[in-house]
Amino acid sequence: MKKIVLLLIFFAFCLANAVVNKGPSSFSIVSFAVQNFANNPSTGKPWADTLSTSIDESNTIVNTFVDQISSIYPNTYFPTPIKFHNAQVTKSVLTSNISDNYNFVYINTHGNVNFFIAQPYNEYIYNYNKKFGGNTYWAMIKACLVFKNGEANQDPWFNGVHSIIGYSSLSWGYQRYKHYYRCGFLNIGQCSYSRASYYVERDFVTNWIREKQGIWESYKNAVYKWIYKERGIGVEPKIVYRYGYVDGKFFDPWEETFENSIQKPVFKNPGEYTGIGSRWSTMGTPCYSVSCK
Amino acid sequence: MKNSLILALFCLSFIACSEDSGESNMGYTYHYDTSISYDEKKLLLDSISDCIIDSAAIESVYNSDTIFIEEKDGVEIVAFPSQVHSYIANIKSIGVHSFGDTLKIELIEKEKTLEASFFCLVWVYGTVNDKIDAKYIKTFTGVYPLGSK
Repeated sequence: MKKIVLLLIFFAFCLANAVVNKGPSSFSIVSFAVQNFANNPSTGKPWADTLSTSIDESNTIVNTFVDQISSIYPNTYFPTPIKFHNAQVTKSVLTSNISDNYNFVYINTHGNVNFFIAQPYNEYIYNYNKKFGGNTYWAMIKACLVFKNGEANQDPWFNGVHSIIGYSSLSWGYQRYKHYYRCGFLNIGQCSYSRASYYVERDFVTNWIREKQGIWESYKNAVYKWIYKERGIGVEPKIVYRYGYVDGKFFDPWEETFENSIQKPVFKNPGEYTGIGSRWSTMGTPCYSVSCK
Repeated sequence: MKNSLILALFCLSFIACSEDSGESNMGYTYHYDTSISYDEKKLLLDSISDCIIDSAAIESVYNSDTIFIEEKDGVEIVAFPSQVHSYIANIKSIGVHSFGDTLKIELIEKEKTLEASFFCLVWVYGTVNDKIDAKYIKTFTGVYPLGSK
């Protein structure tokens, strides 16, 4: 009898430790990143400046999602992420319904108020050209000024997506570098640490998946750490969304956690939502199109 | 022996106190071709428009086929399209460099910045301060025949 009780206690202990985090039953991501732009036929040179960090940033967000979800939510089905790079990031691909098949859409290119650019030469995607919907619940647009306060119109981008994160100011990138300093016994050793702008993407995902922060906190904290605090560069990250009631319960998408996320499109049609919302954080002295604030 | 020990301690404390921190490639750069030298006095910068973000206005930049030098009140002025890669207030002058019959024009920046994911087409207005002897003007946005009105 005593042995049976001990055995039961043992099984209960095993079960308690085997509890797997509940998360979405599936998660998928597609990324679009342009580093090298097509040539301007007139000059024979790229029609927009090279973005040397965009593909690293894109790969980082995808790889971090893969790592974190497979370790924290092993039961979540995660199909192989799809990546579009450089010449593949065409206007026709971006404005097609390909991205609708993925829960998270990541875009990294140049932008300005209400638009970002695509490939090949002289292609622009305005807020009236692209709607995030279908199975897309979240999007991140790493491009300058797309959601500039006081000028941008965020609403046309929405067709069921819960929230979109991006920038109201210029956004910045820097390649990985090492900082060297003295360390160890009598300070005679040399130590180093590395920094890179793709740490924003890495920490955003880590904050959201592993640390279980809300999506806005996850993003804002990552930008603060690696752009403002580390490099001292002013910047204004922003999240835009529609809010209202989903199944009778108030839903404010800026605080949505990954673990308790709503697994369906929301607020697709007029009348389904209460309002349009946004949050931003002004860090230091951000630069906008004309000058730094 | 004692002297050697003191010397060793002195060396170690010197190393410990010496400055040896540093970074490799912090990423700040100018966003124009710095491999050539520019004449910054030939064309004087008067003003730069705000970023052109309207699709029709963007088309007009790319459809612009000739750059004209116009005379107004005895002064020659020129307007040409270009792109700004950091922010507009960071532009300090117009730099020109001759390649045969083509005048390459760059917007010279005041300070280096990191890479910004910023797309900003602008019209740049300048005063011609010295004779321009070129058939074409090459800016970031295109190569344009040069005409006079």
